Amino acid sequence: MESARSGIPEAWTELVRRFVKPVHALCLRFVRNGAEAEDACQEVFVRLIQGISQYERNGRFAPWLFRLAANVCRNHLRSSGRRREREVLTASIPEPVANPAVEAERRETVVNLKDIIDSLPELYSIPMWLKFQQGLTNEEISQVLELPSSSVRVVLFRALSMVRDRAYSGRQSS
Amino acid sequence: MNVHLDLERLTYLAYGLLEPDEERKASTHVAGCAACAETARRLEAERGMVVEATQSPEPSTALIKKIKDIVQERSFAVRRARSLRIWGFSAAAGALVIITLAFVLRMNRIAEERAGINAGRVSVQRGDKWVNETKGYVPASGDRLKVDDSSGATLRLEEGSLFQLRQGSLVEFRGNRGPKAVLRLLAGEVHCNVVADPRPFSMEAEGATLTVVGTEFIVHVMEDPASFQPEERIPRPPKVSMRVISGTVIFSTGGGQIRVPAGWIALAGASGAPWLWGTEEEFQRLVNQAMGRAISQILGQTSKAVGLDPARDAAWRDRADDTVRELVAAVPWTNLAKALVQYHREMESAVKEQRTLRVEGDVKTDLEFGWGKVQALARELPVQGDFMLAGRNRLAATPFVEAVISALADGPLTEVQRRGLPVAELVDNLLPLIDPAAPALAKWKIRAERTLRFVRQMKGNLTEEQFGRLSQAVGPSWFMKEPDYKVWKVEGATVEEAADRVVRIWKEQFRLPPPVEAPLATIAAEHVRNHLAELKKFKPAQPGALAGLEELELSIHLLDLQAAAEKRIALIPSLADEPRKLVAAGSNSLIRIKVEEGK
Repeated sequence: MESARSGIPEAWTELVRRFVKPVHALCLRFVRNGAEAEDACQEVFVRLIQGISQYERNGRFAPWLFRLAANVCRNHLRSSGRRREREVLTASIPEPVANPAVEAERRETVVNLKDIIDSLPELYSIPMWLKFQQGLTNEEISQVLELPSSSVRVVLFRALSMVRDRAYSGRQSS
Repeated sequence: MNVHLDLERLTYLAYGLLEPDEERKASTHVAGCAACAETARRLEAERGMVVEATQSPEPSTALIKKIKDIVQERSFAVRRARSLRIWGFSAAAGALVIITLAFVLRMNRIAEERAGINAGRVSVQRGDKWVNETKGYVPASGDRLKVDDSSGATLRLEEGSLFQLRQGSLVEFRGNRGPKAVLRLLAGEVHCNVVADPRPFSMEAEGATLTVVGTEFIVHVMEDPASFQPEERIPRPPKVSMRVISGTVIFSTGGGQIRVPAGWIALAGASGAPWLWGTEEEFQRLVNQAMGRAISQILGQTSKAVGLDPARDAAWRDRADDTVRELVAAVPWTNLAKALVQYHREMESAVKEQRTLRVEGDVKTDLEFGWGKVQALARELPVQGDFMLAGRNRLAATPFVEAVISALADGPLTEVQRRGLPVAELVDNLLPLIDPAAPALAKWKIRAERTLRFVRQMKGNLTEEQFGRLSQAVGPSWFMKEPDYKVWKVEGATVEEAADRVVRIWKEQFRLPPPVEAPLATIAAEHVRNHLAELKKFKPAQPGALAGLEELELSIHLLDLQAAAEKRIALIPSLADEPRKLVAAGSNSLIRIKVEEGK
């Protein structure tokens, strides 16, 4: 991080390699549009170069970067002044490796869950992603999303409840 | 009663959302509760799928490359900007340092250019108290400044004139340069370096005023001595001394004014006109002589008299203005010279007969009147020291020499004789410049030698008869002052007896302690024998006492013998420092010894 602060190009290359994927994912979850997510992702890194001196060394870098990305995305949405167009997040689902029948059912469930999660408002989907994909603590999630720390656990429970409800209602309808 | 955990708590447990203590309690419950354990297992299976379902799509390679390119480019820019910023900061810091330095220097310059204390520390009088002030203090008119530090202090005027106030000096600041005096020196010494300026500059010191245009000089206010001992060169107690280093200073008092050129020292007393003391060079020479004498005394050696450089009186010797001419004309040279011859003849007789001096009648009148006129001339020139030195003035020399020779020869000189007189050389021998600080016997010897030279000079200028009278008229007392002409007459039946009396004189005169009696007796005995031997050489051709020139020559030899004997006393090893110094300074009287024939 110190090397990056000093403007050493190799340090920045490594920083991009490690964080471009999660930043892009976060942007995508915010703006829900691939092209705009890419623009936002670029802007996040530009802002990172400009503002890395503000990063305090005693904290973890990832939450700080995600907060920066969240602000960029919010600004992006605010400036575009439009409602988000929902796009299906086409994440690749791992291929089955064990019992094909079981795995096929599970895969179907996961795809279904993915659709449900992606359809959730960002207030619920993003904490889930931060929690289950990035492994952030409740405190760190609260900082990124500017939520009260005590609310994160409740938000996550509600998100899971919504996912369950929708998955159950989906099964019922099918 | 077993209460099952609700779905929310089990969800928190399965998804790792509980705090550590909550997780421990929930896990404990689940471990002992089959229903809750079953729910937890299902939730964990769900969790796996949920985590999997929250995965995000990979960004495109093009995006990654684009971001990498942007970051590379921007990081270079950042680095360059950072470098520029560092350089910028450095340059700015450097510029700031330079500006600050320049500012400080300028402020110092401004401070220096202002009138005020330029260096050092002074005490300024505030009522009864003295307040310390340092560099930058601007004195107000009327401020009294005292300097106690050994390094002194410097006062600067607006136009650049500098005044170094020495330790112990006390000055009153009167204001900036103009018609009024800038400074008044109350005590101590000030070295003034006055720059040229259209405005006049003057300062005061003990009633004296010093006016200059652009010059450098040192003024010193003297403390009153406990008891003033007039010496030849200083006719009255001086209060102010001034040494001009460059330029010219007009030194004025209520009694008159003089122009003091560079290299000269001038003095002023509490009253009367200021006078030129002599040159700086001469002053230094006298200082060196004084130091040499002190060293000689410490070494126990008798110091020798040193004749002064005749050039020292050049300042007044050539004065030939009307005032001087009138004063020279007012001196009754002939009567004074005759009275002087009578006076010295009486002095010789008194010494020989061991009686007090008797100067009465016309001699006394002529002496007092003549001396008064010479003193008036000496004051005008002005002469430093013995007023009779006024006879060295170019207008006074000729009438003085002619009158003295006529008086000694007991008859007027012819026109040819007068024209043939080498006046300048004669006056130098009649009125020699003698270091007033030299030992008494040494001064006496110089005067006697010069008188002898004067007599010999006259041998070819006078008739035999005139020369005979002249050589009989002079003697060892010639031109000696009465208080300086002291002779001890020692008579003994034998050499030992005479030596014993000489020992007693020396013991009393030099305060010699008893332990030195043995070597002192030896020295005295030898001195008596040498003295008698010298007397034999000058045995008169005709019966009777020696007189005139012979007596003069004899006294020179006797003075030499006595000085040699005193030098031997000073070298006695057991002598303490104090009597050794007294002996080294020399006695003030000549011992004349007489031993009965054949003894």
